[in-house]
Amino acid sequence: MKFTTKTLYELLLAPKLGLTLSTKEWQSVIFILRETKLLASLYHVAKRDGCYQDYPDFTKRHLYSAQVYAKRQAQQICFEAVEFRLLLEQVGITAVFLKGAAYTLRKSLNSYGRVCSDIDVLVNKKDLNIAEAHLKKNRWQSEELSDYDEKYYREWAHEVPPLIHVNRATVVDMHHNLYPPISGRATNINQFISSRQKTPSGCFVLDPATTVMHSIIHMFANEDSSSWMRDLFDIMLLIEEFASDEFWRSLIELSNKTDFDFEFVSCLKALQLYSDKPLPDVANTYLENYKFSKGELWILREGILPAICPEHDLMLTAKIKRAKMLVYLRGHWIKMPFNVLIKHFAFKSFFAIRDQIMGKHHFDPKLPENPNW
Amino acid sequence: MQRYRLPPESRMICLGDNSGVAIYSGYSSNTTFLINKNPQSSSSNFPDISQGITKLDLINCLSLTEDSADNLIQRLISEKVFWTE
Amino acid sequence: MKIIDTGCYRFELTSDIRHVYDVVDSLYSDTPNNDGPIDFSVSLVFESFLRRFIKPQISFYSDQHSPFKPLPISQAAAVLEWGMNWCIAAHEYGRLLIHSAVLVKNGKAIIFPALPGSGKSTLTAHLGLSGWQVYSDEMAIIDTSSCEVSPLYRPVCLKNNSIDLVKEWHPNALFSPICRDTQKGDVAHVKVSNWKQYSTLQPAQIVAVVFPKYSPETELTIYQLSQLDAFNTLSKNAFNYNVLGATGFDAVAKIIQSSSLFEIQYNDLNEVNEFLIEDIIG
Repeated sequence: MKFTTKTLYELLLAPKLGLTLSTKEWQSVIFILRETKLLASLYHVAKRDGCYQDYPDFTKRHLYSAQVYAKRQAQQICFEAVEFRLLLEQVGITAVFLKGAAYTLRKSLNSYGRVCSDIDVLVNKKDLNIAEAHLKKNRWQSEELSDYDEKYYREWAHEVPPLIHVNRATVVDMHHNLYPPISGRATNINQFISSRQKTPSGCFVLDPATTVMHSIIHMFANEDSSSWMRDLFDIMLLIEEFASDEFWRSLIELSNKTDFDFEFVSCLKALQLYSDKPLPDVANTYLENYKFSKGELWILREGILPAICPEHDLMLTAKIKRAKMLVYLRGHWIKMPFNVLIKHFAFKSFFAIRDQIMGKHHFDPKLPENPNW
Repeated sequence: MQRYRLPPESRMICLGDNSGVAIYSGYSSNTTFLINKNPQSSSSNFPDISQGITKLDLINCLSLTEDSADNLIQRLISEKVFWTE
Repeated sequence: MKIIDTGCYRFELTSDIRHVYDVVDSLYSDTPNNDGPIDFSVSLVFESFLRRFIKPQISFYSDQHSPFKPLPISQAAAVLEWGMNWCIAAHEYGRLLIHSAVLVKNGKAIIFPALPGSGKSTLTAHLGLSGWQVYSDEMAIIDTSSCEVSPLYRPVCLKNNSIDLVKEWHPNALFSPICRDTQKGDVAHVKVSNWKQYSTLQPAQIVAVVFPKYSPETELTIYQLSQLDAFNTLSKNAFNYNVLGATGFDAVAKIIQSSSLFEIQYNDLNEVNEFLIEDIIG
């Protein structure tokens, strides 16, 4: 059986379907979900639906192992978040946790089995310098960056360069906005920050509608589609959990206010295509009233929707590769003014060509030496 | 006597050969080892940690003086291995 | 394309270098053919077109990712074994993995943590070819509730002088060709059992933890190790202790409290063999 994005979502949404797979098919599923970081999520939905025990031993071994790792990571995130909150409270600053860390702190449905590589926080722009200085006095440092990268973060992006804990190597991305201000589409940040809610850990997260709106912006305005399969699964579980009319009203209001309505309708289209649950009437009405331009329809059909595919060789067809390239170009296009964009691509392609000739590892300082067991 | 609590999911064992105590912290997930410098003279009867730990427990398990037990407790509190109630 | 069956984990190998297939054949060709599922798809590839000709280097990939820097092509067969270790260590969190050799006799397992200068691999190869069962040269795979260790079907990795020593002691043993490299030293693998023997092995209870130290000037000296020291060292030598959290703590606590704990200094492996048989296996 050849797996598609659609069939993988079917399995994640109705894990009982896994009972019909052969072990060879499971092998492919495990390779693909390992790549797209959804193995442990499948463990939890299969447990929830009571079919995990009946999966083949081969499958159980891999799902169980992935779940142990995810559980430990969730524990680490809770610990790091509390430590980070306490540190910033010393200088009177409130951090709002975003994305993966926020899901874990809130213990929302999608947090079970979810792994993330860093912790994202949001602080007021006026607090940013004080926060950064205080963190750097307390064992958080940033890696030395090339001048180009430093400029990229500070001037064009919406965050300071990643902060790394000296002893624990935890990485925190501290944002002062949810989207690069240079795009001219920056969200009304005050509105986002003022929507915050306190979790039992004492750490703040965004309220449900704002959380989902941020997840939508983060996914659909991003040039990198490598984690889109997982990102859309997040959104599916979040809207299932938050479901109320009030939630949908707020979400639609946010979409109107923040100038990200195309990302919002893209998400609704993606849900219609990949989810097994119907959208509520209010969302369908919104979608019907939205006037798609020809270009928007084209990028949705040729780029965005097919690009929600795991980046695994077992999945990547020529059409999907092209879709991912279109999404990559669009993501840069909408983020940066034209002259900046040209410079950015010039840099990126120089590195890409150099790496193709000499081998990428030759210049990559981050990879470890062979462990030489 | 003051009782110190361990965060949820923590573990604490007094090793059978009286060589010391190993603590797993459910907060930081770190393991802390405390050495018993005089393994001949201590008792390995360790209290039930769900009831909390007292200074006397540490003195018995690790053959500590009153002062060094106080210092150790301060250190464990600052490292958040022990929580004060 | 070739299947490598290590008993606990199955690998599918693709290699740009043909002779790696021959090495794999010599070490693993007696494993049964079956079409069961693969745990890890691994490959050895030339990183770039130019690099094929100038100081050629080979990269190890686990599925789509390369976990470490490429190495000279002369090391290809060794890189494969190291990479397979990496796959296991980076993905197995269902069981406790301790970086150590495991030797078993009469169903009783002794684990030898891999500290630098331990001479662990020479010890494993020699004892494995002298009547012990080698459950692993690199990692003890331990069930966290029963604390039994499972056997892995792998050759023993030898370096530099120990290759010649083991060849001298066991002239009939099967060695892979030596990977020569001026920087990292020579590496070769030696087969210490065949699949028929391996397939009879059962998970075994750990009865002792022995920290060996090779010391050319010292005759066999045995120290009793405290449970605290053993706990500390074992936890730091477990690949996944930090990931397992409380489960890892409980498992290591159980192992050190139910095992004899020794540190030994030695310059003669036959004396070590006698000590292990008489004082531990009994």
